[in-house]
Amino acid sequence: MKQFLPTFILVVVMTAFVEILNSMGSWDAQLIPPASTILGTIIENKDSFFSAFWDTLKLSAQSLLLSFALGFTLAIVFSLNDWVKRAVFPLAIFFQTVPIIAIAPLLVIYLGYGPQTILASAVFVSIFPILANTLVGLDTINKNLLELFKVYKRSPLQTLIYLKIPGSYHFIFSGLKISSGLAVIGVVAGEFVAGGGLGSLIDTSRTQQRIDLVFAALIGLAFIGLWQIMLLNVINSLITRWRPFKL
Amino acid sequence: MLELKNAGKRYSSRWLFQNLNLQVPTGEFISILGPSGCGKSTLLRILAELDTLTEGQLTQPATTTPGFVFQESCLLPWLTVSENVAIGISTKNLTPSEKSDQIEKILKTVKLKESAFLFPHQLSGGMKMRVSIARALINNKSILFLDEPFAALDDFIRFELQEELLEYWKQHKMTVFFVTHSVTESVFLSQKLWLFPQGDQHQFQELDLRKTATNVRMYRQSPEYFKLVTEISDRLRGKA
Repeated sequence: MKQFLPTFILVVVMTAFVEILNSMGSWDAQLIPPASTILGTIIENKDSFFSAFWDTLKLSAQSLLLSFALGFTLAIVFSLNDWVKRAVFPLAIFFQTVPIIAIAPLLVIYLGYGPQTILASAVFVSIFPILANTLVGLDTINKNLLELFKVYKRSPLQTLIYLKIPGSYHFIFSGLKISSGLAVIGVVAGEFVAGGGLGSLIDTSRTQQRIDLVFAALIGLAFIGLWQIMLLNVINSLITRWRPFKL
Repeated sequence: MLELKNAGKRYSSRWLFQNLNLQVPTGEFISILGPSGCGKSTLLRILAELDTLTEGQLTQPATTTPGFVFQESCLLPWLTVSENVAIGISTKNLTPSEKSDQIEKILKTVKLKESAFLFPHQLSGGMKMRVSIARALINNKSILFLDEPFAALDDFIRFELQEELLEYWKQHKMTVFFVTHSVTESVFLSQKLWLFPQGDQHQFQELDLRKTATNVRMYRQSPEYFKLVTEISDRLRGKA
């Protein structure tokens, strides 16, 4: 936790500075509301805010899990079959370059309003880092180790399970961490068009010029992102304490 | 018996070796000696069926259980010493207790019994190489391929491991192919040498060392050892 101390101090100082300027009347609270105003807004709208917060948190975690399951499985399929990889992977790269905000309206047409569209939007955005990182990990295993498994007559499946997957651990985990941030972005983009959650709260607050609610929602999103990264770090440290994965 | 017939290996337009005709009876300790880039590791990889010949034919004995040791220890960092050694067990249908008996026995041989549950990052360079050797030896391997396994170790550990390997080979008499660029190492360890002399790689030579000494530890001080080292160094430089 020591490493976050300078950031924590900076945030506290900036918050206090804005509060002091606001109390002196030298701060435009309409543009950037001080922390006390944002906190007051959250308390005032606690039911709707926390309901939206929970919806976004839940969908973000679900989409991250789904992206992991799909991205990891696809990477395994690609690593086992080069033809499938060469056929599908360029398409994955192509779709990665299309902005989600341009795709989201299409998803509403195909899937309707509701969580399924939001999940699809988030998975669309967050699957690629897991897929790409896992593939890099599986394809960059030490040549000597691969030959060792060949000498000892291990099957491709045994090599995959006992060498390639554990040897790709750090690549997979890095992909997961990148995807965790992208999953939040994908959920918000989905909520903008499909409704619900903090994304919808931001959209409606914008039309009502409720800057304080927009900031409250932004802080909520930041917490979701941080929570996911912290949870992943805890899981990572538990796993690497059990087995020192590194190649 | 392992046999190479009219064997040749070419990389783009360069032949590493050509027209090799060799027969290796079971139980020989052969060192493949030559300067860097001469093709000795390639030949080893071909013998271990990790690479293929450009021309000619390799015939392996009907049943072989090979073990391989690389220059690096090549251990899986997420597995303990025991688990790393277990990778070398190629016999199917062993019960868990038979497996653990074999692991315990081989770890005792390489003096690592107390380190069975340590991870590779907790071991020294010499200990890692011992694990790698144990992985290659376990399960009574009939043929052993070693690709400069001691090159990265200090003299003290290297001499110790050379002596232990030689003792083990004398007891078990498996066929050993040992790649090295060290003349002293090859003379100390092997019964037969395959030489790739400097400058003219096509002039492959096979030498039977016909060693008379029986004491492994004293052999390094013997006149026979010095005589062979001088003779082979001259051959490598193309003087003989």
